[in-house]
Amino acid sequence: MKLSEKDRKMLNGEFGEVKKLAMEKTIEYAKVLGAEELIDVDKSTSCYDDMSDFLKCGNDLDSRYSLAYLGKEMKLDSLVADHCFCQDDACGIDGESWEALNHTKEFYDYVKGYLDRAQELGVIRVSCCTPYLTGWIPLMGEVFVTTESSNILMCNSIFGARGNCGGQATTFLATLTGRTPKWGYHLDENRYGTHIVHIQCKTESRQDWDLLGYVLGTQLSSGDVPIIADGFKKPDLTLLKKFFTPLATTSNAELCFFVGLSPEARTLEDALKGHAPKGEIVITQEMIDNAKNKLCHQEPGEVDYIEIGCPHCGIEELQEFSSYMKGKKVKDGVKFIINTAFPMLKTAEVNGYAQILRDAGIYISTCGCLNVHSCAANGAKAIALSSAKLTHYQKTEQSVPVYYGSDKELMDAAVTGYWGGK
Amino acid sequence: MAKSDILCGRPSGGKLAEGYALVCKNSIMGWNGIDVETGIITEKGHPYQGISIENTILVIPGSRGSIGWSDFFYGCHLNGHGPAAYVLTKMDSKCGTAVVMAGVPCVSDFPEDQDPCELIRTGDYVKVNGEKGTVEILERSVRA
Repeated sequence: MKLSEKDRKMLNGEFGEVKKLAMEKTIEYAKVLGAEELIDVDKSTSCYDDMSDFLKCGNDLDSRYSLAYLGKEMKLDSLVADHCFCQDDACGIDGESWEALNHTKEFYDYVKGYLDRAQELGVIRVSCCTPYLTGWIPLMGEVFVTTESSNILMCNSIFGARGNCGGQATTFLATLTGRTPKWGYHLDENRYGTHIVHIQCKTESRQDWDLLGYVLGTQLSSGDVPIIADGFKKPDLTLLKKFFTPLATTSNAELCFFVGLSPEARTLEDALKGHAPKGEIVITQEMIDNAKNKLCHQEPGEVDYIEIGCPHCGIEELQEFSSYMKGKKVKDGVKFIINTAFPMLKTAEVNGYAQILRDAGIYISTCGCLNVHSCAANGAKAIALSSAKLTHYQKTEQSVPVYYGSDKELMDAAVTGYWGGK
Repeated sequence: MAKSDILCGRPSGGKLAEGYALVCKNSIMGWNGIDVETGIITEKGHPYQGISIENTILVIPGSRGSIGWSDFFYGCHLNGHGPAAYVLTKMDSKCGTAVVMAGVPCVSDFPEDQDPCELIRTGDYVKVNGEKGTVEILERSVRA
């Protein structure tokens, strides 16, 4: 194992016990992966809430994270290495209100305690799953870590930055030490496409791209790197975020090239880097339509919980929604939530979009989504969502019908309180 | 023991473990796939839905689904319901995270003609050596 002088100093305890234990775990992780050295981490987005879905040990950020990830209860002195730009990922509470998502004030304050402590320890509070919409953009060749699956795909595939998935524990270690095993998609030799994908379905709307990502993911095996080769209309950043989010749900993909769009795939040959493709995949409109029918509950009926914003909405989406909802009202008894993050909400307020949406009866939530605060839909008779990822998970999580449709279909259903064209 | 009953991969952490294999050829999802409180597979339509991974030798091609995979599987270990060892056709960073945090034996990165998901059957009694990178099939399950 090749270590830098700074790695050795950290390992010897010269930067304190917390970093010493974190470096020990990082080296163990490198051995498990089969890495021969570590590499500097430039950017990180990581969750720093209470993690109560997975972790039961400790009762505050210091004790819970140190016990779970370092094996010893300790007071932390930092969460972020000097050279690393770290902001937090989406979290399980709303940015402003404990009541909006059906939390108790006690729970809200408890989770907020974790987020406040993370801020004290150097994490920038943004609580966003689309950090590239807020200025967190790793450039070509930069090394990043993240706890957001779709962000892995966006950064590797579109920005040409370099990162692997890992998970909460190793993202915590990498952010703290500023080092991660040099392995996987950090290495040139692994950054090539394995499967050529031909698109034979619509690629116009956000929903088209949402379903395309969902269906493509079902066609991939572990380690496959798809190359979207032809038949698609060139997507913008908003459409790409819609595409990558479900792709990271139904597959293991961490890299996906777009010919003519990805910096490492100016041509198909560029994306293959001299390797013969392992296979070709065709995505047809029939496959898309079948997936849509499977996702969406098929019986029309009343709906009283509607949520848009997985992943978090950008400002142009908020502009579009406000334009569509101007002068309309969400039906009494229907809860309608749009998810975004603080920077986009502030911009929506400055531009008047937020006021229009609020006047229509919509709650603009920051920081999370139904996957991390499923209690927001407590008591609902039926749920409507415009995210294939969210629908995929909530169909298991919730015991009531879950409808899937376009943002426009959801906004219409919010006004009528009914799904299915009534 | 016949030579064909020993599979050789890359040593990927931990020491020794023995147990009954649970072979999931299409892996298991983390989020909405496994219950951290019990170790029971909850993924709808999974061939082993309702079965626990606790103390098994979990044989999978790698992880599947979003990045929370390692959090859910490590969560099982923290609650005392994790597998005794992992046998992975190919290592990935989500599996690597769960393995290093759990500190259990793991063997991974097998040659193409020694895919453990094809050569080991659920119910086989196997011994995993995470230091040597070997997986020995000590007793074959009775084929259904």
